[in-house]
Amino acid sequence: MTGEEMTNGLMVVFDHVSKVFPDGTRAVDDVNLRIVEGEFVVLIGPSGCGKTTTLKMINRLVDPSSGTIYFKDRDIAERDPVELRRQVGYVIQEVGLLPHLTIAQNIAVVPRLLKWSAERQRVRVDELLRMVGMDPAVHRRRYPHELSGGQQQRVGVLRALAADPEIVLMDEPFGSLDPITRGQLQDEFKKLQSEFHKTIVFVTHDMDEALKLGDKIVVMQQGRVVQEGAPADLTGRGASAFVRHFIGERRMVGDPSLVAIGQWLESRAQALSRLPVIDLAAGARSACAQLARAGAEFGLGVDPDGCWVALVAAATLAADAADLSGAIREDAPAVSVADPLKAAAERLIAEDCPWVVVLDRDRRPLGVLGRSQVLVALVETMWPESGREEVKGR
Amino acid sequence: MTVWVKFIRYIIEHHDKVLLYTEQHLYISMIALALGFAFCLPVGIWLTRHERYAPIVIGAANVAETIPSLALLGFLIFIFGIGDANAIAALFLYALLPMLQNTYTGIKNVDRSLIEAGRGMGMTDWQILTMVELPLARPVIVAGVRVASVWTIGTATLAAAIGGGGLGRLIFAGLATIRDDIMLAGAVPAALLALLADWTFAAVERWITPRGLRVQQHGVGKAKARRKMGGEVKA
Repeated sequence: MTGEEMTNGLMVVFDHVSKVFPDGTRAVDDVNLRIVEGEFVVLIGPSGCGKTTTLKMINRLVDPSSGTIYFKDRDIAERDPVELRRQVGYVIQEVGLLPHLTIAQNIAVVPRLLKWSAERQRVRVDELLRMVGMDPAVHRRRYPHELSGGQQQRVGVLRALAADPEIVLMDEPFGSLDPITRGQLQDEFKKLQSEFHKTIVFVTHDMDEALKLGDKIVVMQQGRVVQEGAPADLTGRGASAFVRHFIGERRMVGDPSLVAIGQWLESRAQALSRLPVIDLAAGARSACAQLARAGAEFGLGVDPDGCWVALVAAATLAADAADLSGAIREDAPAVSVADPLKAAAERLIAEDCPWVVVLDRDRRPLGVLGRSQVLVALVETMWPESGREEVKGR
Repeated sequence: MTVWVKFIRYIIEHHDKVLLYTEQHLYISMIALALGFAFCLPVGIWLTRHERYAPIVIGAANVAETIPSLALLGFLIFIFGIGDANAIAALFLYALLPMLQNTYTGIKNVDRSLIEAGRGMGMTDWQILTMVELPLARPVIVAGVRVASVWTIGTATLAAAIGGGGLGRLIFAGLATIRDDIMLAGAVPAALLALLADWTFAAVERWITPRGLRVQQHGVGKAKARRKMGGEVKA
């Protein structure tokens, strides 16, 4: 058991679980899984690999033929399925909103089954709608068919969260949406998840989605778990031939649209040029002194909270100036460590600028990445072997 | 004097008789319809849970449908004797098919993913029935009742042939005495009753269609639903 598991506790455990359907199909074959509290687990694999069956065993929509599943240390076979399901959120690809009920009534289905008071239901529905930016006054009384597909699935997700379950099961929830809406909902959901730290078990056949959302990815094939690990482990060199094939060779050698800048910097921290960080509120004199002390041409201007504002150029900075406005370049391109490498390259091209400022997740500037470093990063990501040598040899 | 004037005069002169027969007619039809519905709703639901019996039970209702009405009435004399009970029994058998068929198909046609979602959220079987299936199947079920009511009111005119009451008495009396006005005094109110039942149940159908479905069914959806319904009944 890892340290994380010790502190967080196990939410769901699969212990040698198999499922053989009456027609003899072995849908799930001796699966062992440990799902930690707060973890976002993605089950992925080709159709018919048993990922959905595995998911449905957690809320007892399917019962295993052999093996045991524990939910918070209790064997779920001993639990009343109805009572268990009310504690487990469930989102399906078809959304499944009840067309004869309003949005508010749909979201409140489980609270209603749990016999919450009308007032408590109402408060909860409004709170959830606001969370995804849907005005309760407008949307409570609407009917599902009056919403777009993306809005419907937003409501589908809210419905699953309504009774505040500790774990949410999601069966290809964004699978039937267009790519743009899908991306939007993925981002939103990831944000919700980072706020609420629900345990999520998410089924998909889309590796981009899995890599984007999952803390842990479980790859299944013919009812078996063939590999599991963090997204980085899977895109690394340790993957089996099947996993490599399934997630695509393209990703194995690294896809600049998937590898985050921060991820690459972990191994290449020296690529980042450090520049003095200057508090713009402290005034021109202080800025001038700081730049001179560091012997730097440029400084990274921040607000009193340390958040990135603009670049300060020493050349145009006069120590006696009343303010810094003449020396500030607000159009300097900046990217976050969470952005993919591709974004850094795109900013360089779009802004026609030889460097890009890298910010951490709290928008504090870390340093500057030059054009050549970005190029190195792209090459190393896409051609890990040859790329490194070429760069070294240069 | 044209036949219509004679007919109106007959109705005015014998309004008590016409009213009495109309009352009897409605009584026979509605009792048969109510009994039929009380039978079809639970049996139709049960069949959706035990599908292998559906072809047998619905097939049997279909067979009852194909027996000529007069023959059925005659046959039932051996069981129920002469009078209203016999007529109600025959009309009950006639009313079964559309109501049973529509209850069964209405529930079967509820989107599987909605039932799956309901089950996944922790609904009991009873809650899935009352919160998902019945509300969504309701318009189809009422459409079955509507068809059955029209058939029943029409066929109830034959009750008079086996000693039952109803507007059929006037029709048969008119036929026997070659009096068009008397025959019309039975036929016209019977036709009006059937139309009235049709309108009433159409209104009920609209009224009990959940608002969330009503808007959805505008245009193509509704035409399709109608066609489907017709197909079910004829099948």
